[in-house]
This record gives sequence, structure tokens and C-alpha cells, in this order.
Amino acid sequence: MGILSDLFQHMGLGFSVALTPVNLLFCFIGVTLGTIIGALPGLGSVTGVAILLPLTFGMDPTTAIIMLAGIYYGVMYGGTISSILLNTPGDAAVVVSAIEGYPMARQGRAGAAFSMNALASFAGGTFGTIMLTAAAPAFAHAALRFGPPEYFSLMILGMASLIGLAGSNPIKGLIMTAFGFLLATVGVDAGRGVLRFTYDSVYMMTGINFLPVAIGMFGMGEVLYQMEDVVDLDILKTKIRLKTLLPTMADWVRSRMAIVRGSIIGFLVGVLPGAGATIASFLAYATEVKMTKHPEDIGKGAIEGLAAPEAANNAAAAGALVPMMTLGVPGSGTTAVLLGAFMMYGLQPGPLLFKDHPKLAWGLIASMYIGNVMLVILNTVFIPVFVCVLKMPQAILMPLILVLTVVGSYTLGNNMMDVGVMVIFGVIGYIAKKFNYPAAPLILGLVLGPITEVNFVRSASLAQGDLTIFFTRPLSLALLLGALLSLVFPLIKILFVRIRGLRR
Amino acid sequence: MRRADIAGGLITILFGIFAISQAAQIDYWWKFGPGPGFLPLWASIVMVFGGCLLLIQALRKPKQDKHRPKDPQQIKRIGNVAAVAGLTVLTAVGMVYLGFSIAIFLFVALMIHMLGKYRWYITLSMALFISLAFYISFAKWLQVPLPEGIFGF
Repeated sequence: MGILSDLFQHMGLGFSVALTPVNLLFCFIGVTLGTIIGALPGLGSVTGVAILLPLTFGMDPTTAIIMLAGIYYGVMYGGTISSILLNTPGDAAVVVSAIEGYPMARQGRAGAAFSMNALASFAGGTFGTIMLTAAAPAFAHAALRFGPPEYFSLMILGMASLIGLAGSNPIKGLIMTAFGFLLATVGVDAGRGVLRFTYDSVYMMTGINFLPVAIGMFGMGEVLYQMEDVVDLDILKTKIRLKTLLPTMADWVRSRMAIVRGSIIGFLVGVLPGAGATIASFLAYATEVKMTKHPEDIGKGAIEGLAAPEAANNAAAAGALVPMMTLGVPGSGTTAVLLGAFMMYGLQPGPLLFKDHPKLAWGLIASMYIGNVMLVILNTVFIPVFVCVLKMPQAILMPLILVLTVVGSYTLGNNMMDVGVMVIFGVIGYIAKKFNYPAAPLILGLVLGPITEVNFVRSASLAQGDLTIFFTRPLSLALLLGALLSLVFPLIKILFVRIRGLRR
Repeated sequence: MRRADIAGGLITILFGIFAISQAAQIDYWWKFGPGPGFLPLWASIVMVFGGCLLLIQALRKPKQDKHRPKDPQQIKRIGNVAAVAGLTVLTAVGMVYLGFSIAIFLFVALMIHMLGKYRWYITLSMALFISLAFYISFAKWLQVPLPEGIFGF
């Protein structure tokens, strides 16, 4: 009874914040921008949130975060548009949607694919948000009992799982995390107030700002990478009529359970640290391949193979906000940038967020229900508009993004040093992308570095300098073991494959 | 990728050693516990360790076939990237002297000219439109004090 009435109270508060005209407007702007950015091939959610973050300066923090989150989950809807029409995914989380979506479009069923995407996304997104509403207070409550050692171990777990699960080569992830962590130590030491690595530069004293680094790595780096080959992609020409827009009854029957399974897989994977919408969508698709009653259609436009990953990536996007908001540990590049956005507004995600800023926390969650309703309308009725967006020539899009990166990094502190840092990390981001060094661990190391160090120092002084405190407290030990497990997970995987190979 | 990873490993090791040398100058241990040099030192050590792993991993890979056809477009690709990166740097510097609006206008016009094959007046009007849109949204709506050059806007 208590829990339920708390829930209603929270949601009442949340909707009272989310339903104000300003917040509704910016939620709408956010989800629309998200759909557009998703639809544009090559621009993903992390790029979108990073380059548009500066536009929110001067807004009320709640409004800003509502808009940025709208971009994030809006991309999950919009990204599928280019997967279906171009066979080129608009975001890593919709890569698998092209496997069934593109053949559907070739069979003239693009309209049905769009609607199924919108509805499965809506189901997944709403399910994820409901679960977020229910799970967040429980997580926050449990995390309230965390002391500094547990926090330190949790941060290590967050970084380790991103290294172990994301990217093709965990060694490169490890290097990027350590590099990000080192960058975070520049400037005034958060634990003790000592200056480090400043080389007598006033700019370095304040530390390396997260935003120019993120804009450089994800914005400029991405554009430079695409500059290697500038080609306008061929859009499959399809006429979308209202009659073909709706999936048939048979499509529904086939996809019903796929949506349910996708939503559950998506949310669970999303909550895991280090795993995000991308892994969730792959898992959901793999499950459907095994479960489908029409194995002959797989790869040839099986609609359940589109519905499941779409439900999954949207549920995961909501699920990923659980550890980000309640523990302060993001599981992906985009949530790391969102975490950075919280911090820029002076908000520290963690168990106290719900206590100290209930309006923001519940307002954001409530806005996600509203945003999903807006998105399902945008992605069905207004789909022809977004298909037009795909026709935007690269010659215009690329300079537009570059100008945004320059202006955005300048806006932060109105100084050219930030622009310089942005350009340097733009070049680093390009090289990293070209040679497969994942950018998300670097951003995570940079964002989590200071809090990790503060908790490290606090733990050490709690134990009077005895560092075994991290291993003697059971919860902390468990978290560290989890970190170790996710680091050696890739090794276990390799071993497993080898053993299986030997048996054959 | 083998050669690139060997280079990447070496660069990481060198950077890590440099970071170790810098971190070692900061107090490693204080009376109450780890000093401000503790975590930077360990982060640098992890970098060197990661660099070594990457190097070993790359060296164990088989050498690529020498007769593998080289990507003939490679130089052109890197040229494109370098041109765009250089242009962005020039624009950032140009913003200080020419002012935001003019620098952005020139940048967008050059980029569109480089990437798209439009007639000159289309290129110019698109560049004008984009730079005006940026000026209005950032300088007027968002009230960002954008750099003004010698022309005063």
C-alpha cells in the first residue's frame, strides 16, 4: 500500500512538472530532433546529445534534461527509418533492424515496417519507462546504504563492464578508459585540492572540460570519419500510402510475443552496467531467430525480427537510465554524455538525486511517457516528413554539424581554448574511430574520474590508509569481483570458442 | 590493422611512460592515506600495461600478405579529412579576427563547394542562409556573446 501510494505521489509530481507548457514544448523539440538525428545515417544518439547539449545552456535544468533525454530515446525511433530505407542504420542500436526492415521495404512494405517500428518502439519504450518508475526508487533506496568504498567499487564495475562488453577489442577499451581517467586528473584534485598536470596554464587549472572532449570525439570525429567518402546514399523509392502504412492482422499476430520478449530483454539488458540498447537489440533479434514460427522468412523481411529489436532498444534506453540516475553509473556513451550534462547543471546523479531533486527526477521520467506518445504519432502520421530528411545532401549536413561543434564548444565558457580542445579531440576521435578504439570508455573515464577519486580518498581515510577496505567490506568485494568478471569475460569467451573448436 | 595496432601500442606505452614520469613527481602517499599522485600513477601504469598487451596481441597476428592490393583511395581519403580538419582550425582562428558571422559564412561556403557540385550562387545563398540562421539562433535567441571581429559582427 505504501509503495503504491508513493508511486502515485511521485508520478503526480512528475506529471505536474512534465505537463507545463515549456517542458511539453521542449520534450516535443527533443523527440523531434531525436527522430531527425536518428533518421540521418551516421549520426547517432551520442553525437546528437553531445552537439545539441550547448543549445540547452541557459534553460532551466529540468527542461534541458527533458529535451536531451528526448533526443536520446527519439533516436531509437528515428534510427530505424534509415535502417529500413537505406539499409544503413542511423545508430548502433538499430543495426539489426536493417536485417528484416530493408527486405520489407524492398517488398514494398516500408509503410508497414515504419508503423511496426513505431508501435513496437512505443510498447518497448513505455514498458521500459514503467519499469524505470518502479525500479528507480528501489535502486536509489538500496544505494543509500552505500559507503565510499562501495561507490568506488561500483564505479570500477561500471568502467570494467563497458570495457568488457562494448567494442571488439577490450584491450583498446582499457587503454581508452585509463586515458580518460588520466585526463580527469588534470586540474584541481577533487579529493585534496592539489594542482596536478597544469603546466602553469590557467586553463588547465580548471581541468579538462568534459563537453569539448565529448563534442570533439563524437561530433567532429564522426564528421571527419565520414569525410573519407562523401557519398549521398540511395534511398529506396517507395510510395507510402495510408493503406500500406498499417501492418496486417497476420503481422500483429506474428509480432505480438516478439514485442513482449523484446521489451523484457531490452529492459533487463539496459539496466546492466556496460550493456546498452545496442546489445539489447542484438539479443532480442537473436532470440526471435530461435523462437520464430516462420524460420524460412528470417532475413527476408520477417516482421517479428524487426519488432523485437525495436521494442528492445527502446526498453533498454529507459532501462539504462536506472543505473545512470540512481547510481550515477552510465552504461553507454550516450548515458555518459547525459551524466555529464547532469553534472554541468550542478546535479549529481545518484541515490540522492531522487531525494534532493524530486521534481527533476520524476519530471524527467513522466516526460518519457509523454515523449513516447509524441514519438509514436510522429513516426506514423508524419513519417513522410522524416523520409524527406534523409534526402538532405551531405554537402549541407556536414558543414552544419561542424559549425555546431565549433559554436557549441565556444558557448561553454566563451573562450577559444575550449574550441581548441574540441578540435584536438576531434582529430583524436577520428583516429580512434578509424583504428577501432572505442570513444565511450574515454568519456566514461573522464566523467567518472573525479567521483571515483573522491570516494577512493574517503574510503582510504575511513580505514586510516588501509586499502584492503575495498576487499573486506562484502558488498564492495562483490562489486569488485563483478568488475573482474566482466574484464575477463572476453577471455572466457575466447577460451570457450577454442575448446568447442577442439572438440570438433 | 596489424601495423596500426603495433604503432598504437607503442604510442600508448610511450604516452604512459611520460604520464608515469609526470605522476611520480606528485606525492604518492600522505600521512592519512593515498596522496594526489596515487591514482594518476596507477592510471598511467594501466596505460603502459594496456599498450604492452596491444603490442603483444598485434605481433602475434600473422603478417599481412604483401601482395594485398593497397587501397588506391587511401591518400585521397586522408587528404579529405585533413582538408576539413584544417579548414575547421582556420575557421576557429578566423572567428577571432573576422568575427563569427564572416568566418562561419566562408567556412560553410567552402565546405559546400568542396562536397557538393552546385552552381556558385546556390552555394553562396545556402551558406548565407546557414550562417544567418546560426547568428540569429545563437547571438539573438541564446544570447551567446559570439566573437566579434574587426567588422563588429
